[in-house]
Amino acid sequence: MNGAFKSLLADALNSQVELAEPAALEALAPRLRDYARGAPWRDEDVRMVWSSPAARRLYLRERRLVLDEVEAGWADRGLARDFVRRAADSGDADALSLQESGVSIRIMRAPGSGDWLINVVLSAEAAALVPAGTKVQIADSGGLEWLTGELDRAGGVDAFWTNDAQSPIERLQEHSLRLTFV
Amino acid sequence: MIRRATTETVEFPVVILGSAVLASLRVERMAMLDGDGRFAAGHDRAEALDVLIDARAPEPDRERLSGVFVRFLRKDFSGLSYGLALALADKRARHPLEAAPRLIATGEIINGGEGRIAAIDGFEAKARQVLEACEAAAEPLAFAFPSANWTQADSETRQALKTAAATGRLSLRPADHLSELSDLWASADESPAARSRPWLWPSAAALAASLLVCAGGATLWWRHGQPLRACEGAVIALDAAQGEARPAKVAAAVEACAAAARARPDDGRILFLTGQVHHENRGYALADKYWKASADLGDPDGQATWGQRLWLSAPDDKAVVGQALSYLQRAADQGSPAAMEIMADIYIDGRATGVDVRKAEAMLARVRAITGKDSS
Repeated sequence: MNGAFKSLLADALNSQVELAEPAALEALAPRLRDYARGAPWRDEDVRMVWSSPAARRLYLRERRLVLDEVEAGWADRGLARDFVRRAADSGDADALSLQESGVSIRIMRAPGSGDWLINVVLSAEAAALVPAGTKVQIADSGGLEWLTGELDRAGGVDAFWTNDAQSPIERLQEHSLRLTFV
Repeated sequence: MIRRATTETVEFPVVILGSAVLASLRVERMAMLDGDGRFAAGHDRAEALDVLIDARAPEPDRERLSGVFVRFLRKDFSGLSYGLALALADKRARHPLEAAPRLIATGEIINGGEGRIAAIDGFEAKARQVLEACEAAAEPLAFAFPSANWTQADSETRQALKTAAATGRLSLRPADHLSELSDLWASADESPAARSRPWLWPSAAALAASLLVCAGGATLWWRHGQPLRACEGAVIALDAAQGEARPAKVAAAVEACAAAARARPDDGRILFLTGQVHHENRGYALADKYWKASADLGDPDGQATWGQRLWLSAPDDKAVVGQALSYLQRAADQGSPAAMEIMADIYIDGRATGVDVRKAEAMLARVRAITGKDSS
C-alpha cells in the first residue's frame, strides 16, 4: 500500500459516522482481545472493524496492550532489543553476526548474486513470548527499517537488504539496531 | 564430488487479476546455512520450506539441509503452483549443469508426497504465457508441468505446445514426480531405491503414452536419455559461445555428439545434431552422412536439412529434386515449418519442378498458421 493510498484510506476512515450499537461493541470486545493475540477473524467482525470507528479504537487499544505485554515480558527476562556492532567483531566483509541475550542477528551476502540477507532468530524462550499475529521489526538508529515479519516455525524471520546506497555492514559502522514489535 | 555452487533462476507462470504473467525465483547455494534448521532463508513464504523438504526427501542425509537463499523476484501472487519451479531451482543451484536451458515450470509439490507433482489451475492461460515467452526467446527453453495438466488440457493448447516443440524451440517436460525431471540438474543424487519406486511405473507409462502423441516432439529430451542430453548440452553451449571460446566449444560438441551417435546409432535426433556440429566444424561430408541417416530414421529436422542439401546440390535435376521433395514432404507432414519454407523456395525457383506460385503460397500459408509469422 503506497503513501497516497494510505492517506486516502485514513481520510475515508476518519470521516466515518459511528453506526455500531453499544451492545454490539460490548459483544465484540472479548473477540477483539483474541484477534489482537492472533486468533483468526470472523468475516462479520472484519466488516464491523472497517465500518465502525469505535470498534477500530477498541482493537488498536488491545493491540497496544499486547505489544506492551511482550515488551514487558522481554524486559523481565533480560532479553536483548538493542544491538551494536563491536569494534572487535570480525572484519569479514560478507558476513556479520550480532548475538545478544535471546536474539541472534546474522547478516550475510550471497557470493553469486551479491544479495544481502538479514536473518533474525529468537531463542525458544524469546519466541514463546511473541504471540501469533505480532511481527518483529528491526530498524536502525538512523530510522531505516531493516526487516519486518512474523516469526516462522523455527523462530526466525529474514529479509533481503534493499538499500543500494550502503551495505548493511557499512551501515552498522554508523548506526545501532533496535528490535520492536508491531 | 566437489560441485560448483551457483545461482539458479527458474520462471513460473502465475495468474494475477485474470492475466497470466511470468514470475521468477532465484535460489543460491549458501554453505553458511548448511545444517541449520532454517537452511532456506529469504523466501518469505512458510510453505516454501515444505516444498524443499519434500523435493529433497530422496537425497542423501548430508544434502537435505544444504543451505540456500530463496528469493522471489515477484511476490504479488498467491497459490502453490510455484512449487515445481522452486524445487527445480533448488536442485539446479546445488547440482548445476554445464549448459542449462532456460527453464519455466509450473506445478504444485504435494505436501508429504516426497516430490510428487499435483496439477495446477489455469494451465491453458499459463501455457499461452509460456508460448509467448518461447516466441520471444533467442534460445530454446524447457517447460516442466504436471502430467495431469497435459492430459486434461484442451486440444488447442496441446496442439500449440506440440507445434512449438516440433520447431525445436520448446522442450515439453510433463511429469508426475520430480525424479522424472532429473536430467534438468547435474547429479544423480536420489537413491536407486527412490528411482525404482513401483508406483512410478504406471505414471511413467502414462507419461510415455501421452508424449507419444507429440509426433513432432523431436526435442523431448527424456525420450533419448543421457547420450542425447550430453550432445544437446554441448550444442547449446556451442550456440552460446562467441569469439575465441567458439573453437573449443565446436570441438567439445563434435566429441559429445559423435559419442552419442556411437551409443545411439538409431536415434534420428542425435544423428541430426551430430550432422549440425560436423557442419559447424566444416566437416561437410560427415555432416551429410549424419543428416541423411537422421532423415532416413524419420527425424523431421534431419529430413528438412537433408532435403535442402539434396535440392541445393542439383537444383536442375528433376530426379534429385524429386528425392528432396520426398524428404521435405515427410518433414512437413510432421509439422516442420522449415521443410515447408524450403518446399516453397523450390516451387518459386522452379528449375526442376516448373514455377508453381500456388503451391509455394500454400506452403507459406501453412508456415504462417504454425508460427504466426509471415515468412514470405
